[in-house]
Amino acid sequence: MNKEDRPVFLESDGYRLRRIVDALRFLPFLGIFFVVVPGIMLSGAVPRSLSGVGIYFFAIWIVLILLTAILTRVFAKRGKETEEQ
Amino acid sequence: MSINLLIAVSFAYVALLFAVAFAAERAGNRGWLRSPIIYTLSLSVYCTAWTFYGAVGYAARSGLEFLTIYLGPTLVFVGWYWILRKLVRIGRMQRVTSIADLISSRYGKSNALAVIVTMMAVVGTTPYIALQLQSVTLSFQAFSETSSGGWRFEDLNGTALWIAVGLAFFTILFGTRNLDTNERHHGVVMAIALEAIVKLLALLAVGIFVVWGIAGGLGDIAARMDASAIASQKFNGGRWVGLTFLAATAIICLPRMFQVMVVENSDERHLKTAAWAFPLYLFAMSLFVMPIAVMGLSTLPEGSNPDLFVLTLPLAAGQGGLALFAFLGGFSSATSMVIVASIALSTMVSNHIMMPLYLAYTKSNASMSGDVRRAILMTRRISIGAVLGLGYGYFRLSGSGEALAAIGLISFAGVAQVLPALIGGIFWRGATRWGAVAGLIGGFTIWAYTLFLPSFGEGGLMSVMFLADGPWGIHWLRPRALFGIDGLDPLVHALIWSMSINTFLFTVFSLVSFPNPMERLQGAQMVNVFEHSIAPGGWIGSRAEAEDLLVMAQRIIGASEALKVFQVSAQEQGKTGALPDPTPQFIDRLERVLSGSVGAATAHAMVSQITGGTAVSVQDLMAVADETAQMKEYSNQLEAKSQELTIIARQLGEANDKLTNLSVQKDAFLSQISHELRTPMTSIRSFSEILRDTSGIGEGEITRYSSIIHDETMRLTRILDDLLDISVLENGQVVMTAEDITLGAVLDKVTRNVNLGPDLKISRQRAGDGIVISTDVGRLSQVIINLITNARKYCIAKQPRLKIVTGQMGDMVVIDFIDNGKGIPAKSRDIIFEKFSRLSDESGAGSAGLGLAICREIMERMGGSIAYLPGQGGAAFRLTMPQKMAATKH
Repeated sequence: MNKEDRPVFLESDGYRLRRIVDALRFLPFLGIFFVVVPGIMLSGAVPRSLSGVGIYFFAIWIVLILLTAILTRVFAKRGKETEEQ
Repeated sequence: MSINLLIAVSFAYVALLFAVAFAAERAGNRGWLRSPIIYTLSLSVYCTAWTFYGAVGYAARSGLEFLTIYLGPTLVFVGWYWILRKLVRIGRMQRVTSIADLISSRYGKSNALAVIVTMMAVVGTTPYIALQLQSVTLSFQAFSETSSGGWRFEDLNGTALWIAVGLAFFTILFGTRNLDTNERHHGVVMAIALEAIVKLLALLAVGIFVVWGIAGGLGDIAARMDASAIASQKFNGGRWVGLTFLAATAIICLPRMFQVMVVENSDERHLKTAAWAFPLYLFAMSLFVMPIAVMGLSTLPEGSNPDLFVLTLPLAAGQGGLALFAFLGGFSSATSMVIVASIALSTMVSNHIMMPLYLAYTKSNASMSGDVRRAILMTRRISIGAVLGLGYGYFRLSGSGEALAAIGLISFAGVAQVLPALIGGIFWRGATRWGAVAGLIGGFTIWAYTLFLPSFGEGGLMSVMFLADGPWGIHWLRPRALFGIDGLDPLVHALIWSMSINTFLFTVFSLVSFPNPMERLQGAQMVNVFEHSIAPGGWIGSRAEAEDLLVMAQRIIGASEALKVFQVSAQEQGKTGALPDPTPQFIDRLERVLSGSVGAATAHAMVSQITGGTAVSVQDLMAVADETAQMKEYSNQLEAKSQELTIIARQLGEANDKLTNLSVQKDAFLSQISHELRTPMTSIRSFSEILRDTSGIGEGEITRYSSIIHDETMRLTRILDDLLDISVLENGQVVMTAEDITLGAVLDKVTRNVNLGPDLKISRQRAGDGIVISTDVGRLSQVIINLITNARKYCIAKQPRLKIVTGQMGDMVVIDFIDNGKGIPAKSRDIIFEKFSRLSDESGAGSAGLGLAICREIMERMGGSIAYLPGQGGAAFRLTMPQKMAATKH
């Protein structure tokens, strides 16, 4: 592929990769918010439904795992493509 | 369920672990052994027996709070891009061997700092090891209570001891088999990965059995949960946040986690998988904790130990097989933790405490690598034994189960004190050694004072009074209410104070102190690790690498030698070709061979350039620079020496020329002297024959002939005298007697007495005539006479004149003799002072060519010299002598 044939979107690829990194960086703060804030809000109270609270935390947990898995995989793939070019 | 069966299964399981570890060690660098899955599974050493059994107990006592222990690490892994990525890169770049090594390395390779971190790690980890021993022991006991016949586990201590010994044996066997430069242990990691699977499956199996076998599905569990005693507990927000933070910290700072996460990491990319896979593992591990706790509470008799619900629930339901599986899961959790923790701790203890001591005591040369390597392995083994011994000791000391239950979190809080120094070190270039030391010691002291020491219970290490009223009744120093802040949970209280004081001291001391150059370099290297390094891929050996290494090695140590090294290694690896696999062992050996030629640092840098396993560190570069400087120095010395040699060679050449010349002179002289001796001899003989044989010789003739004979005899005597004189002078047998006299007086006396011949006129310049010298007057006169005589004999000017100039130059007295003849040709000036030298035989009669040689000898004896003065119009000689004659040497 010579220079003229290169896609105009090359720039946007790099841009996208950087935004994915931003998302990766943001993820733990999202996690802290959804784990810590409810903990503080519940403080001192007896939860109305223990199983409900438990299900909430497990749900948050699995969502975090999925988001990390997706973002990391996309990051790894895009990162490799960018390196190859 | 027989207890004998349990023991047999345990042994079989351990044998399986041995086999797996051994096979993995043998397999070496095979691809799948280094997959991200293995890496993720090895991270599960985080889940110890405290997790396996304790989480359920925790849930039964405090509800959902147990989740924090897993949510904290999840947050760290979800945020891997921030901290873990950097830690792993730094670990690989700097060839870090432990968390203590990292801290010490960051702060300018300070061993004192490493010792502090090591001590903290040992203190923080020992109770945790004790906890593992206890849990395995308790699980044996749980079985023996329900079993029929077989052994009884009444003696808990004995059981724990045997477990400790067994674990030490396994760890020593696989943790110290070889001394890998990167501190990686494939065998152990594989065994840990297998154990990770076993404990996960065991817990899941028990969970599934409990939910769908004992209870009636998820709905039933939820209903029972909301109806249980746990549901009426208040939610403690402070502990929730504090514990989440603590667990997040622990996953970074625990020595064993650092070991598997950073040190054993074989490929940075594995982290990208572990970032989601490890939280998923934790998720699966905690999924059934709450159901098991709830079912245990509702179905088992009052007073059952909730820490053993995982075992006792299947046992109560008559599921012996499942209980056995659960037992193996708990056993796996405990053993994997103890093995990794003791490897990590022993690395630290041996590298930072025992080896420095060993080297200091033996004063051995560190370059004797063979001996030192063996010593390192030995200290590792001793350290492992010591660490497990400490754990067992703590187990015996604390004994009661209640004290141990809280130990997990106390340990976490202890190792968390490393966090400010660690995170500050890798993100802030301004962090200094003094900051780290102050923070670590401050934080650790507060931790020990507010949490660790009180944990031994009231009346344990701290008296009841002490705890209630503070030391000496100082209220605001109460260990559980520092600065009068009351009513906090003890753990949260200790955590807040220790971490904040730690961070405060670390920051302030860093700000006011000044780092040394090494610290600043290391700081820049670590903080900007991604700018200084190319992303290293997995260290996977390939043929190309081996070939490149061979090419390089040939260049350094020569083709045949290099091939030999490679072939021997290939044979040891069981390969037929000439190229061995570039295993760490082989590269290690190659590096050592090469370092024999180019120095250790250069060898390391060259090899890692090809293997790419690690980038060149500042330390390496500095060492290379050192070596280069040494070589430069050496080559400078060589250059200087070769210059010296050139000069000496030139001098030798000159000396040789002179000798050759002299030898020619000597040959000439020999014929000369025989001629000289022969001439007078001939006339003596013929005239004496005439006197004897001829009769009737007149009176006048007799007188004439006799005086000829006499003259010739005198001439012979003079020649012989000269020869004798020079021989005496040269052998240093002459004695000189000094007397004080002025220069003028000497010259006057000589010129009065010497035979000047018909033509020679002497003119004097008397500048220095008044100088009083202390010298052997006779000898000095001899020299002067000789010079005047020479002038008379050899000055061929029509009106020969000799100018005698006296003077002083510095300390020396000078007399110049300058005639108006044709002088001495430049090529002959070198040899005129040699014995038997005569420039020509014209009018040379009566001289043996010894005159100037004798002069030189005399002048040197007096501590002066005689030299030819060029450029004076004729032949000119300069006598130089000290005012006071040098003491005569015999």
